Amino acid sequence: MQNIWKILRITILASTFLTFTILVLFPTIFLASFPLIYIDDIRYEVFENPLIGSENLRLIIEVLTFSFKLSASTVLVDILLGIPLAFILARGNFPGKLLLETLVTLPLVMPTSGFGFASLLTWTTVSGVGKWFGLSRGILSITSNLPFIDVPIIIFIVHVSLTLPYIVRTVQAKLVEVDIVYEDASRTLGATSLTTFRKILMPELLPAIFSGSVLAFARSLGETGATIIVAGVRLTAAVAVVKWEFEFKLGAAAFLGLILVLITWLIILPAELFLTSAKGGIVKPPSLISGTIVERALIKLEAKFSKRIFKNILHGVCVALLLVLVIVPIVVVVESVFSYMFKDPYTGKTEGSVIYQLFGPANYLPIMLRSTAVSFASAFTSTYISVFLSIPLVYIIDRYRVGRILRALLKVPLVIPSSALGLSVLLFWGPKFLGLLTPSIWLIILTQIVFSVPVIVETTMAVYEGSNIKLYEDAAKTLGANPYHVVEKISLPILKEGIITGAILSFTHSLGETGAAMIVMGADIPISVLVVNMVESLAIPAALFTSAYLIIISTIMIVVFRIVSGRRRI
Amino acid sequence: MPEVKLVDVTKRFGDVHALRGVSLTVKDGEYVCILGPSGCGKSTLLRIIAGLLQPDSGSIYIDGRDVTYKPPEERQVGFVFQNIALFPHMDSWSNVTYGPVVKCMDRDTAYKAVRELMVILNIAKYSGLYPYELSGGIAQMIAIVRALATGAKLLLLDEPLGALDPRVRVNLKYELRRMVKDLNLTAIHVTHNQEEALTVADRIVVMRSGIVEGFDTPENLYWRPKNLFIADFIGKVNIMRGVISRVIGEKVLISLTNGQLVELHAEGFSEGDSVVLAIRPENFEFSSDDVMQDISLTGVVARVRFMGEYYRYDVRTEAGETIIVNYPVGGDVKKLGEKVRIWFNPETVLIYPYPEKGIEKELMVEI
Amino acid sequence: MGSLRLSNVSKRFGKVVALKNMSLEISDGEYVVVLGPTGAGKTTLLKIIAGLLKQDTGEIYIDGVKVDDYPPEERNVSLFFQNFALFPHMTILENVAFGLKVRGYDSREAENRALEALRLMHLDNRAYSYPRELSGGMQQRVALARTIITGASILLLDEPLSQLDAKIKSELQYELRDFVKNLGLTALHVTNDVEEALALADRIAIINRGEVVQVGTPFEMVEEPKDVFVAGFMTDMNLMEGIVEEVSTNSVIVDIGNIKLRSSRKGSFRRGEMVIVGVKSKDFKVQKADGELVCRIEDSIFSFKYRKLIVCFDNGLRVQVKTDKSGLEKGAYVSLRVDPNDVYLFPCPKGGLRAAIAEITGVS
Ligand SMILES: Nc1ncnc2c1ncn2[C@@H]1O[C@H](COP(=O)(O)OP(=O)(O)O)[C@@H](O)[C@H]1O
Ligand SMILES: Nc1ncnc2c1ncn2[C@@H]1O[C@H](COP(=O)(O)OP(=O)(O)O)[C@@H](O)[C@H]1O
Ligand SMILES: [Mg+2]
Ligand SMILES: [Mg+2]
Repeated sequence: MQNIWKILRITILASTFLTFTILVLFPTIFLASFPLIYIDDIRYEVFENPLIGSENLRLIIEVLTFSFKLSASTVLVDILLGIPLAFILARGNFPGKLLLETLVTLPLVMPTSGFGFASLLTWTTVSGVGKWFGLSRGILSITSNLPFIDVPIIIFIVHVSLTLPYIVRTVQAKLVEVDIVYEDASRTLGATSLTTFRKILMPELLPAIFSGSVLAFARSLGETGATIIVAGVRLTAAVAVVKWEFEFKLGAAAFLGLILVLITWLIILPAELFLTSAKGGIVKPPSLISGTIVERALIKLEAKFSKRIFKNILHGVCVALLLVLVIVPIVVVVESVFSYMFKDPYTGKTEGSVIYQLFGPANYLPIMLRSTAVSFASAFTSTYISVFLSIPLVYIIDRYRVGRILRALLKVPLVIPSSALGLSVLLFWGPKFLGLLTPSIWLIILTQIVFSVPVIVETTMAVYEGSNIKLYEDAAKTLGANPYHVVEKISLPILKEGIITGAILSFTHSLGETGAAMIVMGADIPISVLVVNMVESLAIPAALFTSAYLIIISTIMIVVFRIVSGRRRI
Repeated sequence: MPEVKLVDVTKRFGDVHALRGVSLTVKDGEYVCILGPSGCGKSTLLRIIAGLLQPDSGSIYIDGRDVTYKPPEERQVGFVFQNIALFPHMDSWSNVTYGPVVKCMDRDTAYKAVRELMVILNIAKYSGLYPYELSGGIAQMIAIVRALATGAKLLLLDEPLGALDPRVRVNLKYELRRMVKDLNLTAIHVTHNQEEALTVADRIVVMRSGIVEGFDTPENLYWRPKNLFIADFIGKVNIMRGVISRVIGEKVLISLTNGQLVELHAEGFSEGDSVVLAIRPENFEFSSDDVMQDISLTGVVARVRFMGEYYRYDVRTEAGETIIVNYPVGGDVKKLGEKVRIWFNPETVLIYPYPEKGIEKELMVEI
Repeated sequence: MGSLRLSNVSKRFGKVVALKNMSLEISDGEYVVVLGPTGAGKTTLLKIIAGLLKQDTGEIYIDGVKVDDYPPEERNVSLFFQNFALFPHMTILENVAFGLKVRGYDSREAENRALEALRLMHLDNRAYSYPRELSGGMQQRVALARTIITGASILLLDEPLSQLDAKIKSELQYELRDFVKNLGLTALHVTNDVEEALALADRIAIINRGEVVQVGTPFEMVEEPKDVFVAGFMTDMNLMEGIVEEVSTNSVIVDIGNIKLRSSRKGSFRRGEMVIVGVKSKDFKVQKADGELVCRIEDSIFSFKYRKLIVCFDNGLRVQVKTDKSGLEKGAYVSLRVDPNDVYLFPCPKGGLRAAIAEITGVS
């Protein structure tokens, strides 16, 4: 009897591992072979082009510098905004908390191209908030820069919105875990709330802030879909990869992609190691100023600002900013669809209306429907396959030595620039290496599997670790359950929440993913890329309609998901 | 000098009435225990005194000063938590000096006082260790020093011994009491353990479902409990029903359900009243057949357990009731199934009117 | 149908030795309580018997069969987890019925039995709640119900009553024993609570640092403790360091800093040897100060029917005395008496008395 179970288990785990290696691992690490395959192109294009010399190298350095400034400033603001928001969500108890939580998560699942377009519309055009203030232009110009650093505000805003959830969610999760009793103890010992935060909570939160920042930074570095729409003439590194690929500057694209991936690895891996080594143990930050005059002054200052009024103001500002960044673009885009429904509200021409573009000679409707079908079919298929791959993977990660490495590797598809990922998948399956597939919906599905598996594994793993599942499995065993019973009656039901969460997240992520899809889609254009194409061909009303439609679908999905998971938790 | 006064404090959490109008005064220098079953509102009460929770209504005075709306950091109280709650990222010394540091107290005096306290309690040698390196008992002592380090004279303890091994608990509770008395502190100590409360407190607040059922010294609660609930909650009682058949001056004659008559000292009853008699297991004696007591019951031993200092017998009486008898080790041991005759000294009997709600309801820990 | 034998079982976690050559034999239908402080290795012991951990060396026999290679579900044991491990996604009833269902009972039958067990735990009215809706004490009782009705004939109970309010516990412990006995089950119950052990056990095994110190009936453990650890753990004995002053055929006189006590308990001690003297607080008799064993009452503490006096001798020695005499005020001088039969003598432990006491009480 025992042997049968053992054989069964090993078969399942081994076949999962094999499939995983082929579908996820190889395509991810295939990037590393870039310099080998492209060695000549790279040398020719980047370093010693007979016509422009190393002009491309200069370009590469320029886009990288720009991307760095952008991502660093984004993360800084994420931290400032994210910590108070995490606090409100973790410690607060107010009506509408669920709504706020949903709102924070929204940018994670929104199609980035749609959201980018909505933001562009909202902040830089007359159809956006400018109109509300009676201006005849947007309140921002596409070229308005942040002071001191040469980064356009609109790109910056979009990046903050899209990466904020990473900080909020990681810090919030940690805060929920930290027993409130330490804060109580500190208060009864005479510390005000800010002092308590600095001395008691910060040491606990530092790893979470750190890992959240790393994720946000990597995400910002790799963001393509929204950036390509709002960037105008400026190129971020991730967008450059896509653009150059389209311009057949494959060598430059591959070289830049590789650099991006290496950078991502360099920040993720040390972070992973640091976090896994600190986990369970305790971070003991050196207290340099403890007990000194500096600290006394600081404590006095903290006492002043610990008044409830300051806390309320801070919280209010953070929530308001979140609303402005996330909700206003959604409102604007939906409202614009209506104002563009029958005619262009400014010129009065019917050619500029949503109806005309969908049903008129341009006939965008069938294209849109086809793209919708491509998106849903690919998202569904890839999520379905990913779920089946992920569940045994969670076990492998937990039970076997390779698990820790696997888990770190799985972070990579989540954070590397999606355009680079697309390129890698294309090269792996495509004519340059295996020669099995050409760009098409099949390649889209394979690409989506690469980033869906990590999403589902992460959420399932979170439940797995948070629910002490091994204890329940042990309990079931001693109550007489055989391995089949254990999986069916105990493990799967407990993990269900994580699996469903992961599936919904990966489904919406697949629907909205742009950067990789652009590279691997061939003639099967998914809806998120369609938005970009529409914007680039200046079919604004059609782009409006499509963005609104995408945003609404993903919003509905997350709300439904919230309701489902919320009910279970109560 | 700390005196704590609560006036009509109420607190609700949604539908749960955690406190339903609690008023009490803890005198300066007193060691008071708040005793009640889990969920009766003890912690809520203590947290309201500390300022960690706001009451819905009512007021809290410390030293005559109304502190109802003051935050915890302005109340000068020391709080000790059930799960110890030493800051995990600080060593013992940083933990105990946390209060003086964040209150910007004079360093030399504060540190000296803390060090002295640690020496008195014999825990100075653990200064450099981190919480996870300490045993539960030591960690809790460190936590107590931490609570006192800012010079607080009012010590609030929320189940301070709850997380410790029973054997550790026994020792620590005496140390705790001695320390509070030596340092002239006022202490309010929450527990659900009867024995712990009775052996450390000067006075005990007995709580049930957000209500104060009684507030008295251990002796009075044990020997003269105000009502049947307290009598049973403070230590087990055997309950017998009866009816007052005659009142003779300060005495009453009660006829028990089995027909026996008992004469007891009792006031305030009249003929025909239904009553209950409550007798503690340790107040029964076995009688040998030749000496006949007035009030004796016969029965069969249904269970015998050796409990260290006494034997616990379950005696099934002829009426079918089970009477629990705790009898000191030393006399001859009764055997399972043996026929025995038990009697009790009328002086040790507690007598109450038959509760309107019925006995079971009266004794329930949750209303 | 449920005997258990451990033979020289050892287990270490890295450097920590959790169990050291542990041997223990439990016969069918017996209720054995393993008593020891936190960290003594109790949980490890149960997990090894249940098959959730593998011992480093030694064998385990259930009903005479070596089970070292059996998976947990084939061992005929049922483990109560210290932290309950109630399945969070199942109702109370489903939790309790789980063991019966997976062992192939018909679902209606399983639920009926589960309800019956819940009734015993006074929780039948919560059958359709989820674990998180119950207090810690209630959850513990559900877990107990789930463990005792699986149909396994050996119960392994890991501190099953630790979370209960003292009041509920003092009643439930006897009912638990009855229930186990009525079903004819074998129980191995671990705890750190002496009262619980006395109330439940046919035999008690005291363990410390992964080793069995003494095994015996409750009576033997209290009346004939083998060493300082057992005496200090099982009773409230006053333990004092003394020097053997005189040895005669049936008694020994010990000097405790000029206080002389005579012991007539058996044991071989040499003159001049350092020993530990133990006297239970109830065995001191208090009488008017008469020149012998005079001491001063430092504190008088309520102790139910009795009072516990803390008394101090001239030489600074402090002992606890339990008495039912009234009118003994703080500050008064009294004399103590003790029957030589009640004066225990133990060999001096290796690290000295202080260290031994610290080990028992967890505080120095
Ligand atoms: N923060 C809270 N939210 C909701 N209910 C609470 C909260 N704190 C306590 N309660 C409820 O109030 C009642 C009293 O709780 P508590 O004071 O903790 O009791 P005790 O300390 O006596 O066990 C319980 O029913 C408990 O469930
Ligand atoms: N999984 C483990 N890893 C490392 N050490 C452990 C582990 N489990 C138990 N120990 C150690 O083994 C010893 C015995 O633990 P345990 O059996 O849990 O004791 P008890 O149940 O008596 O409190 C302790 O010192 C404990 O720290
Ligand atoms: Mg409490
Ligand atoms: Mg244990």
